Amino acid sequence: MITKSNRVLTFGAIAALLAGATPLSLLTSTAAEARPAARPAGGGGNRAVRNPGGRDIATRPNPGNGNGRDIRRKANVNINNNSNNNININNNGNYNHHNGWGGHGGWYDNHHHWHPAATIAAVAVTAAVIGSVVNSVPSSGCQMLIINGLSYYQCGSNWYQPRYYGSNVQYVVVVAPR
Amino acid sequence: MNMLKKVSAASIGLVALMATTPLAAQTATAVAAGPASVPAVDPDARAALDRMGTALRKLSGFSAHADVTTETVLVSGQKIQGGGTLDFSVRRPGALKIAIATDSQSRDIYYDGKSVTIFSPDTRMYGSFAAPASIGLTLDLAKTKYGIEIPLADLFMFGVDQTMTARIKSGFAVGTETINGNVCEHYAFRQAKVDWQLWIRRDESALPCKLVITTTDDPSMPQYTALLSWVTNVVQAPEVFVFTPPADAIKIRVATTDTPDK
Repeated sequence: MITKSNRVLTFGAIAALLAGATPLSLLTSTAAEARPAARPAGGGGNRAVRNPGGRDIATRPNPGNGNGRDIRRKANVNINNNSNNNININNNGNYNHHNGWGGHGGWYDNHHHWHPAATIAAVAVTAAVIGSVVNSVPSSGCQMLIINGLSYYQCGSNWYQPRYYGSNVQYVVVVAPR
Repeated sequence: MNMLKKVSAASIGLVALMATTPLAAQTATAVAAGPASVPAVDPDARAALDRMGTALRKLSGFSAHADVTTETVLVSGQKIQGGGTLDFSVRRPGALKIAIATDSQSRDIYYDGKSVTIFSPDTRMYGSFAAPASIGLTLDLAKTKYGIEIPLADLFMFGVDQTMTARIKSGFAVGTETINGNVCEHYAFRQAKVDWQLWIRRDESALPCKLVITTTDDPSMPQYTALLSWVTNVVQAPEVFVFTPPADAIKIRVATTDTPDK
């Protein structure tokens, strides 16, 4: 465990730095993915999933205090870059994406900036605006359920549906499916 | 030939100096096409791309490994480097598998000719979408509709997508270098938003040895570098490209990014 927490400290900043990848740029990587500990029970022996060690972005410090350390952009990963300006995402909720979608000439950063996941998650828990999008669900108090073939995370009275958006997994706050 | 090269290099220098704005670029093109009649893209550089494209197109399948470094630009302008690996397997016309691994994210992407699946080995989440029958169309769909860009993907499109070379504004041969034990010719190209350098093997394989992409529309000019190694004599079995969900995998949907809130 000591090793693991060291790794958090050691790699946290690196993960955060890498975090500004676009959904487009797979290799350029996103930040660590927070995932609730709770897993669905049963169903075929190998349910134990290894903890992506050191990837709990909730424990990561937030150095993005206007020090110029927010991510502006990533290197292009292809020669042709004719793409997809102004990605629209219906962030009608609490997700703060100040580094912006489509903010710099056809390049869009992903969601993982310097924001500590805990902050995002906490906001989500209290506000939980239906339709809003967050990077992670709270690190405790959640359980994953499969309802009508779809995966949900239930965190208290809030329900989240995970989805891929580009190469990143994000969570949409949804109406309770049951 | 030497003379031609010198003239050509001078013209390119001029183009490089002037091509800072679209307007200037136009002017530069006019200059380059002036009395010397030297095209901004050296014929030997263009021929090298064609040669590589032809060689790649001939392969019925291949595997490639790339050691990659990339740069992130912070708001301050400071650049931070990250690294990772890519492992491609391709079986023409309609199968592709890519394993992407970095310190902070891993993804496996499968394309079996019918659908694309993106899988996270760490979180065990996967999502799929229906795909067209060719690799090229599928890469385009993944990028434009689902926001999933495969790094280096367009490298494999040379010889298939003619617009690749049409976009190049200047290009010339830098010299001969040895990379991973292979003798490679080094070329430098410019086009909108990126300068790029490509090393191509001098042997008959004409495979790319290395690619560097410099993003030029940001003042810090972040760079992406890929060192490539190839296995071209083995074509993977079709099953390799089919995603079979592990017992603990969680299926989630894949959002489209081309329309809001889908």
